[in-house]
Amino acid sequence: MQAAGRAPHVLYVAWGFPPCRGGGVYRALATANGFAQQGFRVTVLTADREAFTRFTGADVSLEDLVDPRIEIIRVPFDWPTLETDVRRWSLLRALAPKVWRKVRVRLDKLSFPEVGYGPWRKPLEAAATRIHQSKPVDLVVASANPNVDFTVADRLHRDHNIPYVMDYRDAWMLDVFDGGLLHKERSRVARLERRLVSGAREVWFVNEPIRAWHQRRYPKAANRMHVVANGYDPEFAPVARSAARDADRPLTFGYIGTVSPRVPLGEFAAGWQIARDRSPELAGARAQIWGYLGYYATPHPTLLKIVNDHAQDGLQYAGPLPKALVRDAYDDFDAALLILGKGRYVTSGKVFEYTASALPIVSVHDPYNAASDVLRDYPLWFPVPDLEPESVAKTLEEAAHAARTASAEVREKCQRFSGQYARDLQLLPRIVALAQGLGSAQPVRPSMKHPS
Amino acid sequence: MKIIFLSTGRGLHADFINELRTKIGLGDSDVMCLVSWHPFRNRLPVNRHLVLGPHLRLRGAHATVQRVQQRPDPMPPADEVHLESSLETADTYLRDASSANAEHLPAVNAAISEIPDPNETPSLTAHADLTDPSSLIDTSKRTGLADPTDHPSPTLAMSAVRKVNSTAHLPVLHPRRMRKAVLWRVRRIKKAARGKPASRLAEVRSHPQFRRVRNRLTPGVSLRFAASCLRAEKVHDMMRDSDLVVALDATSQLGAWTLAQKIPGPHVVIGLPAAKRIIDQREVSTAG
Repeated sequence: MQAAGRAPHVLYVAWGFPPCRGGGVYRALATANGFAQQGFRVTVLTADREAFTRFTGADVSLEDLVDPRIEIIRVPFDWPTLETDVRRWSLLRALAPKVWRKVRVRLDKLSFPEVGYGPWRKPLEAAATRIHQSKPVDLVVASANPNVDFTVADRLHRDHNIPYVMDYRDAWMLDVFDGGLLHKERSRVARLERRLVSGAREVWFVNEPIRAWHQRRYPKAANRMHVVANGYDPEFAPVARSAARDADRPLTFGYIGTVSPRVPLGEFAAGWQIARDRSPELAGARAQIWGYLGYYATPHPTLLKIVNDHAQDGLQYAGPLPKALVRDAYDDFDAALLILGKGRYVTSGKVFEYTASALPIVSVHDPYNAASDVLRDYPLWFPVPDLEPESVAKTLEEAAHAARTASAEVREKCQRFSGQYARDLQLLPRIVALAQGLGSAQPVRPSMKHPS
Repeated sequence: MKIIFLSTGRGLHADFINELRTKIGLGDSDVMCLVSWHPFRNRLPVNRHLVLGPHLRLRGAHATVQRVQQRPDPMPPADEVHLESSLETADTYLRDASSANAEHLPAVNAAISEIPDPNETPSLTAHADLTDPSSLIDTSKRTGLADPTDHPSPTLAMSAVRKVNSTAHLPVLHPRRMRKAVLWRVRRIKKAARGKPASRLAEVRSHPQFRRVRNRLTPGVSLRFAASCLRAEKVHDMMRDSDLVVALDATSQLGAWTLAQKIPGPHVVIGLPAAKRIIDQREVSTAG
């Protein structure tokens, strides 16, 4: 069903949109669906399907989750660096690959300072202008990464004074791991961000520490900055565990997500070994790691060695986990492991999904990590005070005890706690505010529901 | 389906090949071929294996057909074992080089004296297929030193001698190369025992920066592999009726590109994910 003609027209710009298989695609999907379900006419501007099938991998089943009222405009996206078809290579690339790469990086940054994505700026802006000419746009919501998506917002704002929202999934200037700057203060990126933030109707961030950092940096725009946490997707979330399982059965602790080299897997493994050796409640227990070990399909050798070295302690690498099987994986867990790299600004998207399981959550990360803020009031949260093996072991023992003994009431409290982190609830207040700001005559629907 | 893998690496082994087959989902009926730079001592489980790089069969075709899946892994030849043990002796000594004990030197020297000099003995052909006369090396042709008057100047003569003495193009376990390796280690031991500082020239030569520049100036394996791909008719013939050519490592990519320019038809890609995608696409189109 097409939304009424008077409904505001929102142009949503996201490079990664279904069938893209990347992690950020769920936020993009939920945002576009959220606007459509609130009565907006939504046009999505994204990369062509071939970019995903050829370069990032595609999950075509995600396309079924896109609201049918949404119009999708795909802009061809070329990614020469990842071109695997040798017949398409130039002579320079074949004979002098290092020189070619240097030239390529410079060319990429000519029109926009972002390697790999810069050349997409012109076709993207041209497509946005065509869309506006055929169907005037009332609001642009641009989602990074990549940051080149913001150029559409900038172009329509400068040419037609159309308001825009910047949706940051990470940050452009801020290094979320060490709190430093990713680009120099006087760089092109710094100047661009300053201008874009100053003109934005709203700027969204995924957690409070990142927002606070930007508020300090851009005080004039501070009141337009909001946290839209990632939340969990109810259709993929685990079913909450209402009671402990059979007491004779050995416990299973589970981790789901990418284990990057920054993740303290070694510290966890050392603590796990101590706890399993001395706690009767952890006798025969397993710690399962689901996801990628490292950033690539081939497991990172150092991380794999840690797992193999502790195989006799019940540490197992279970491999990548398709989204459709996430629920089944949680069914096997008695407690969830949140092992994260150090960083004041790091929140894993998995935090929210973990809370939906109502399982004890063991946080093995720096206590000042942003994930701690999310979990602080979760009834079955077991954070490590530090990353010493003894501290990790003690925390694991406490979590094991809770996994065996937590009452149904406590688990129900966990479930209630997780309710606030459903992704649609995170988005709804901002969509309502934007609709009101645009003076929409269209009534805003009270709740959001994903299309079946 | 016929797939050709290109590789310049030394580390190919049967398990790796089987893993490749599994990763890209090849069936028993699919034909898997390999074009490599280095010969492999263990037979690889491929249907056809061509070696382009330095090997003992220097005459005749540019590509040598390696035997595949014919017999279990052969034991290394006796003289090779002997050489390896000599190398181990030298290495063990070098590990204790700080103690630079001159008493050990006679033992090492004795070990070296037992190593046959391939330039003087028939053991040069120890690895060659003795049943195939063409595989024997004609040493007089290789050295090119039959008539020293051919060389117009002492500099050129020196250069020619250096080229002849170079063993870089030979396989790692070639007797000449093994002998050089042992001699090199012995020289180091002797120097350590004498306690004399290395000469300035030797210091410069062994400096990593110097070696890096020198390596950049000389054509690497990538270019030599590509040139061999361009010349070897056997590789062209193999590629003409293939469906997919996959470059497995960075140094075989130029070879893949040259083949792609020369032979139209098959897909030429780098990496396994791209290969898998092509195979999946073919399966879908065939099923459709």
